[in-house]
Amino acid sequence: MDKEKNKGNEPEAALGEYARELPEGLHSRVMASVRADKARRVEYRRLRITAVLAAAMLCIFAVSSTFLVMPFLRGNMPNMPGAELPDPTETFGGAENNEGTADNATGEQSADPVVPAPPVHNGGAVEGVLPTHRPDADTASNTTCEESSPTESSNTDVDLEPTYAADAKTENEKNGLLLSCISNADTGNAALTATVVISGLSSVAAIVLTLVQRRKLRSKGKGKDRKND
Amino acid sequence: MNDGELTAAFEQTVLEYEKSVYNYALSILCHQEDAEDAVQETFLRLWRAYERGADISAAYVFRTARSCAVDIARRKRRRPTVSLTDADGYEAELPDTDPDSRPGEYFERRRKCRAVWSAINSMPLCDREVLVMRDINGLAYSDIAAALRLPVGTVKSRIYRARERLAALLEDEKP
Repeated sequence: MDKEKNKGNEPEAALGEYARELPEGLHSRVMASVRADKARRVEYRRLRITAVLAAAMLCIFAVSSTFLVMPFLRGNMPNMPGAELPDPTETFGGAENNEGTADNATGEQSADPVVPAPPVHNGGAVEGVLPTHRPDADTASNTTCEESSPTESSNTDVDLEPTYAADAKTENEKNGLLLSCISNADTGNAALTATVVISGLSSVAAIVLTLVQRRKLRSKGKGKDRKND
Repeated sequence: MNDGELTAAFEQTVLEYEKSVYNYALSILCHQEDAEDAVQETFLRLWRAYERGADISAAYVFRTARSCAVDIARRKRRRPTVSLTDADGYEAELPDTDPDSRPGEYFERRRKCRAVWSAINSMPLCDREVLVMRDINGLAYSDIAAALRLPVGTVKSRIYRARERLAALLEDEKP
């Protein structure tokens, strides 16, 4: 303790002899409380870290599950502003489109207003996404049957052969692109599902751990209070 | 510094200040058990500050002790308790440890101590705390001024006034 230099005859602690002695056990009580506080603070820090981890895991779970569920919701709600109307010529299978090209070449069906309707048998994946844009099935099937008659396709102009080949090639490329997109989407979905599962499980584990730690701390506090009483 | 060393270093600080803090808390609270609680609370707060790397000076210790004692006094005013021991707890805390002391001397010393402390306790708080800090704990004026956040001149004048008042009170008690 810093003590000022005595000026004059004034004593530093004139009544020092009347200072009261410490009660027995106060020092050990103080040091015990210091050590207990240290231990308690370590536990609180651990609890805080677990709680932060649980919150982070819950956030990851919420975001990833939203991303996983959103495409299904968009698919099921066609009136949503975000849902895009597909171009039928881009999405439907190559065989049908070839037929369409050949038909257009004949010139017979160009005047028919029902012609742009897509055929009935298109790719499964695309069909699942856009079920509502399918035209009247009867009309479409009739039209397809008429258009795909072998006599008509054999009567097509010979000059159209290169165009047909080029179109087929383009369609094949498109199909390849579509397939790769589908496979990429599958991989993405799998990763997303894994993220959802892992983050969900770990957030549940972290929450349980947090609750257990909290309960333990509370019971310790209650025990201490009872002891003090 | 690891945890054990930190605790050991802090224990030295506790040993250095605990008696002074106890006397100071007793001068504010006038009650032994409350003063003990104040000492414990003070060192707990000081420990938290120490862990954060705060510099523990005498002024800081007494400022913390004052804050704890005031908190306890306020709490007690809200929820009054009845102590089972003597009001100032004097009987329990002055053991006769000196093997050479005679019974007469011991009782004389006890009587004087009791007179001094009862006189101190009858003084206003502002006088009694500066008196205990200076004349019982032997703190420097600058430390007292820093602890109470007062100018040194004010501290000196308060100590002078408190001494005069104590002298008058002890004079009255003389048979």
